[in-house]
Amino acid sequence: MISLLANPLRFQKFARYAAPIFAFLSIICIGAGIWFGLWHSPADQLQGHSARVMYVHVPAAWNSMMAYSIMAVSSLIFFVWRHPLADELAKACALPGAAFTALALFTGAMWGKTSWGTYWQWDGRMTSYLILLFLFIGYMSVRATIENKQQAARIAGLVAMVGSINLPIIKFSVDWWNSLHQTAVVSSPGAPGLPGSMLTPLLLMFFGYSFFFGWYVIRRVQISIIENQKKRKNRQKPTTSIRVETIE
Amino acid sequence: MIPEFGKHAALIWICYGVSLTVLGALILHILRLRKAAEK
Repeated sequence: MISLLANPLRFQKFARYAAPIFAFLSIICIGAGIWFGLWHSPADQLQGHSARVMYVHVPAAWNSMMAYSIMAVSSLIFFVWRHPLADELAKACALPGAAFTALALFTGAMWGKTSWGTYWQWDGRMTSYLILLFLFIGYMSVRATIENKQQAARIAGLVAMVGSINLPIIKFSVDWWNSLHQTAVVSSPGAPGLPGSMLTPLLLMFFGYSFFFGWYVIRRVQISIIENQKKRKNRQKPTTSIRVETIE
Repeated sequence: MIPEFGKHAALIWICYGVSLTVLGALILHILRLRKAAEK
């Protein structure tokens, strides 16, 4: 499937159908997630209604890590096979990834103030997650500042690949070090789990954000393909006009 | 119709509001990029 989409024309055909479907699914899932999260899920026994922030905080955090993973893997594919569409995919993941990271940091700080009495602590989880934001910003800065686009793609790709070591650190930081942040409730084996009334909005919002991310990335890669095609056409246009006159 | 969240109401509405604003900003960004690319 991935190698099929590696052809820009085939990708454009795929995108024409996939993008509206992803947009529709995103709207449905986010709408349903907010409906269930705010109207149909119970308040937490300990934290009360403030636990409802979980339905925007956790999906944003999961999606930011997914975005970084895709960015790092695409950069590796570009490095090994030099496929330009892999580089466009990596580039497309950066901004939404950074946005989700910033969103998770903001909602986490707000939630932390009510739960822990502090907006921030320099513990393993929060520090490594802040580094993730810096990695996204660093990636985008490298691409924006280096004039040679091929060189920018290679250096940014290196940043993405080397920075991927941060992902397992984020994931396991709450197990390795003392942290205010709670340990995994849903995703680890042996985790206590959530009741269905809380798991439903959480998963709906996660899928909603994921479909939104998918829609954004598809559209961004489409736009990059159009821009590259225009650049190629402009390069092929003759810059001098030749006039032929017949001598009679 | 609007649920009551007591002392946490501001926290919840700010977090949900900011989340939807971020998504809206990304949508606007991609629409502007598409408009510029299609010119």
